Amino acid sequence: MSQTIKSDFSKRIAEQFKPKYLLAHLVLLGVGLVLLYPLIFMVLAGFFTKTEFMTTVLGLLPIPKAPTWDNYLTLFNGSADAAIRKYFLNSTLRTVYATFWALLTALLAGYVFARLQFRGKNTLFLALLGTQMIPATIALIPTYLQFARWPFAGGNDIFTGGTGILDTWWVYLIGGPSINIMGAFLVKQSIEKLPYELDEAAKMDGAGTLRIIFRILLPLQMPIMAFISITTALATWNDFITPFFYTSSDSLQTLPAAITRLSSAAASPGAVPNWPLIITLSLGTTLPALLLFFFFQKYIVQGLANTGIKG
Amino acid sequence: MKNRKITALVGTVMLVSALSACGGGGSAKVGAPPGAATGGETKPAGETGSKAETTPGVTTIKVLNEGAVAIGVGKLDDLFAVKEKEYADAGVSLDYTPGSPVETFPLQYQKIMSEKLKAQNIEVVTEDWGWGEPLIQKQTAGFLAKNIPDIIVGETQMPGFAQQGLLEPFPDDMAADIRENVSPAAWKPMEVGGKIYGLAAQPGVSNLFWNKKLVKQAGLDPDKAITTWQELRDNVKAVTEAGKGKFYGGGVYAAPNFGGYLRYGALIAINGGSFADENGLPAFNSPQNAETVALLKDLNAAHPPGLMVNNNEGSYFDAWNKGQIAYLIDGPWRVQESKTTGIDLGMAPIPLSPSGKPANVTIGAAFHSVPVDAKQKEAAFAYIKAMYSEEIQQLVADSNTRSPILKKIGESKEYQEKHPEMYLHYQAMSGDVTGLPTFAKDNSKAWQMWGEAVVKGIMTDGDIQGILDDAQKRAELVTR
Amino acid sequence: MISNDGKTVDAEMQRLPIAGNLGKSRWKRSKIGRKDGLIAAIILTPMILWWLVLSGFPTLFGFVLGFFEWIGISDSPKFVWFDNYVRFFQDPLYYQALWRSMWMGGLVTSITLVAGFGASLLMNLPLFGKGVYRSIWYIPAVTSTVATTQIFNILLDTNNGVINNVLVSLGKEPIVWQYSVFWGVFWIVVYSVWKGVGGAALIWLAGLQSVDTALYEAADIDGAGRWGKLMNVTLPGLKPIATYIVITSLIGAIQIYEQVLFMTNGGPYGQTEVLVFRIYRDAFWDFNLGMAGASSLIMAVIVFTATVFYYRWSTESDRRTTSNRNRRRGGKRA
Repeated sequence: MSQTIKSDFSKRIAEQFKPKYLLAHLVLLGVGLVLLYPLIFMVLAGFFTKTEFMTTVLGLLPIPKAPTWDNYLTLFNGSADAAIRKYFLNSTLRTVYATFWALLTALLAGYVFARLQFRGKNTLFLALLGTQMIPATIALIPTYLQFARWPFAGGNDIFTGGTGILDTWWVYLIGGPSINIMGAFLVKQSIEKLPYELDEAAKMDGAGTLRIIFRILLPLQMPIMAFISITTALATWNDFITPFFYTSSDSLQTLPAAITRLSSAAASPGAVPNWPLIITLSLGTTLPALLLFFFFQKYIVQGLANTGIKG
Repeated sequence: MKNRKITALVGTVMLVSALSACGGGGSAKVGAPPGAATGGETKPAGETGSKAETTPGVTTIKVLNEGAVAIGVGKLDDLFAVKEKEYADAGVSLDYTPGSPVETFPLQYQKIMSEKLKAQNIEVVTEDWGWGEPLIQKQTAGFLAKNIPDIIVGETQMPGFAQQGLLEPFPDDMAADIRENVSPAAWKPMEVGGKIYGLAAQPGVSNLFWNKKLVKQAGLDPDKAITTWQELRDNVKAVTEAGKGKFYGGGVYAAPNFGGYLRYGALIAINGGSFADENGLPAFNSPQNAETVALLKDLNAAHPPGLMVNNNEGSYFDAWNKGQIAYLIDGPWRVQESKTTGIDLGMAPIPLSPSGKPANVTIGAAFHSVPVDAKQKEAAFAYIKAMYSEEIQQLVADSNTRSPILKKIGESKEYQEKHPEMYLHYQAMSGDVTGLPTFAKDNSKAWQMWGEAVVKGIMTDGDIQGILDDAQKRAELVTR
Repeated sequence: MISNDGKTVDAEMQRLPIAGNLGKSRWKRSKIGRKDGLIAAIILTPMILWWLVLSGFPTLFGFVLGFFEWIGISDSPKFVWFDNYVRFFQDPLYYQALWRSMWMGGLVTSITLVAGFGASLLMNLPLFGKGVYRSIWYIPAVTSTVATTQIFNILLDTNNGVINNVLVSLGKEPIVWQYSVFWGVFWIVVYSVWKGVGGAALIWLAGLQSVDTALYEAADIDGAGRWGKLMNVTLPGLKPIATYIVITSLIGAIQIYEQVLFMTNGGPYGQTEVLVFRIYRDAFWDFNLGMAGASSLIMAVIVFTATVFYYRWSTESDRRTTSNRNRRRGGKRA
């Protein structure tokens, strides 16, 4: 592999035409297009007017006779009851915050479970993992009650009287420092594969635990960290339940929650839903997430080959 | 590890006590007289943010948005300017004089509400909790935590909330006023144990619609309203034959979901059947119900395969809009919509079975109710009163998508002349109108059993009575 | 490189007794254990305490509810011991839903993982535009379930759906997807794989990238073929990632419910109902939190047991293969 990295450009071009590589291109592109098809459908559907979408029979690729930009304009400008830009900012802040903590806790906890020896380690780890097996649905109502009864917040005395931390920024912030167990699992698996000697050598040089984690191990975890960033950021960005369920104020809404609201207005009871608009809006939530992914994905492939382990 | 175990134990104990406190508190509140509950909580302890800005002497109530009249969330008075600008930018005229068509219905609705309430020193703050599934989830949690607005809205879940004692009954004088002056479609589904728990300002009921063009192509008279089930059977069959796979007779949506129950519920009621008895126990297998399902089965033969019982209600109405089915039983919004889609439609009361009487089920209604745990009940009831005021109801009449619920306006000569189709709808609202029942226990399981039995009756060649008997037996087990 | 490789292998060998619980030098382990334990406590305690408050509490709350009959918001919960659990195993509504969750989850996981692995092998080649491929494959994972299930529904509509339109134009009969169990399951699986395969490919890829390249060179020197390298270097090197991805995918797949809710709604006749869908209905439609809690606990216990067994098996066999490989290789080198 290191040879291919060093190899010059023209050689790589020539390589692309080897039957093996051509086949790989073909499979990746072919299946990729199939995977992409529903998205293409969505993009095209966004150019329909409500009436045309309603009254025409759609083919494999829906091409409108009278294309309109209206749906995309609504997406970017919002409407009176949805200031898209404000929600965008909320979404961004929330996502950055959650990703930061997820990375930090995953790295630290991953290190502990991979490298340190203490009694009950496996039990503790499996117990933490065990909570991931509970359907999130079941925790919704208890969490709501917990937030509502949060001591000394939002007009509460010890437990009652007010609304706790419901409908405040705390709803988004409170979860931060909690352990990101799935991330820690991944980091653990990845660190366990690294030679223990790396740590030993650093210890010999007088490095403390934190230095080992951040200076020695972290650089080797970059692909994993990139993956955790992507998944956490996307999950937070797309999360509609938290803003919807635990907040009501307009100032706390995020993009997906706002878009759900616009969609439900477009689908008001008894009326024919404005499908092209709904489709465009949901595509719009995806767009920033997509850009985020394009930004991060290249870190995943850097791999160990060029992060310095080979010296 | 020991410590952790103890923590867990303490946690469990706390939990159980919190739990019982929760339930106990709830039922205690239900029993207490409304006055006492309000008196204890006049101090708005737990309000966040917006509370600080309110002027003294003004009562602020929190109201949930409903799509048809929503103009945004926040203080109602702050929303007008933004909305007006939006309309102006789109080139929509902001003028409205009562008695003439209205283009800015939600804006005018909220303006009237705001003015009427301001006169009583009440200020409205709106919140949006969504609609359908998400709304039900959030309301459930809100009830449990006693964090609930002063007015909540909803459709099929609302009678259930009323039965569980979560809603405040309307004061007696107000209830009497409503019974006398307001069309039953607006409140009858929310009547539990002789008390009224909710009101919809512009509910719908179903009518029969037909696509004149398709009916004509089948060689039938497109202007003649059909009145019997037999005619309906014959006509959908004739249209299907004429359509040769291009279009079909149609009839009614009958999927195993509330969209289906609400629509063919009218047929069930017409034939004297019902879904449940007055105790919320299933009444699936009456011979009347079997007759109705037999009609549905015949109608299914006049649909493209699978369409009538398609889980997505959108698909069904999509077929109507695309001119693929000729007959449809649905709410009044189809009239206004046909102007966009260019369908030339006929409208009539739903046909009757040989022994049937006119009856209907409220559909597309946003019932407004005051929760037991609301903080400003008096002001909340003032809000509901404003919903059936003459000004609001005149506005609903002018919108021509729904009918007013105030008898004074709906029965006026003027309304009958100006809005002939909607007057037909108003008449249907004034008859024997009910809502869908809520089963005594495991409501959704019982409904699921019913819905699946109907689909089985429609889709298979099994004995309908036998299928309903079986569903009845299973539903009795879950509702006990 | 080669000397580096040698060092790496030696280091792994040194590490082995420590990593395993079967360490020979007991005194050394316990000494290390005490110091490690302190560091572990300092790092983990705040995180775990926080986690106990925020996730532990609601979870426990849910489980405790399993011992109560609590139907209807204004009802008081009634302690009923194991009634809900007994009902779970008596009522086909529940145990059949559990069974469906298990086999559908298994099906989704295995297809996703195998397809993802194949894709990652291709993406690992030095192809032009592989970043684009990665992105294309991952896009479905970025989209929201609510929106994309709707698109699937539009495509799959019996009457006006694109797929049936194509079938009709080919002179075939349109298919009523919603009233066939086979097609219901088929599309739920297709949707889940569609949404999951890019993510799986990505993480396999991260695993492939982190396999020590020196090991491949060593295998070249040993004269191993492509297949031999895959079996002896790639797969063992992927083991830790495999443990992760199998467990997390399974946990994810067994909790599938949104696609069921939005695509088949459990139909036809409840035959695509999965357990989490049932839990959801119990909790929010019937407000039967007792049954929802009991079902959740049963499901969690089953998934947890499976995870523990797989985790144990995988870490142990990992240890075994690594040490075998090292012993062999180390011997040769010496």
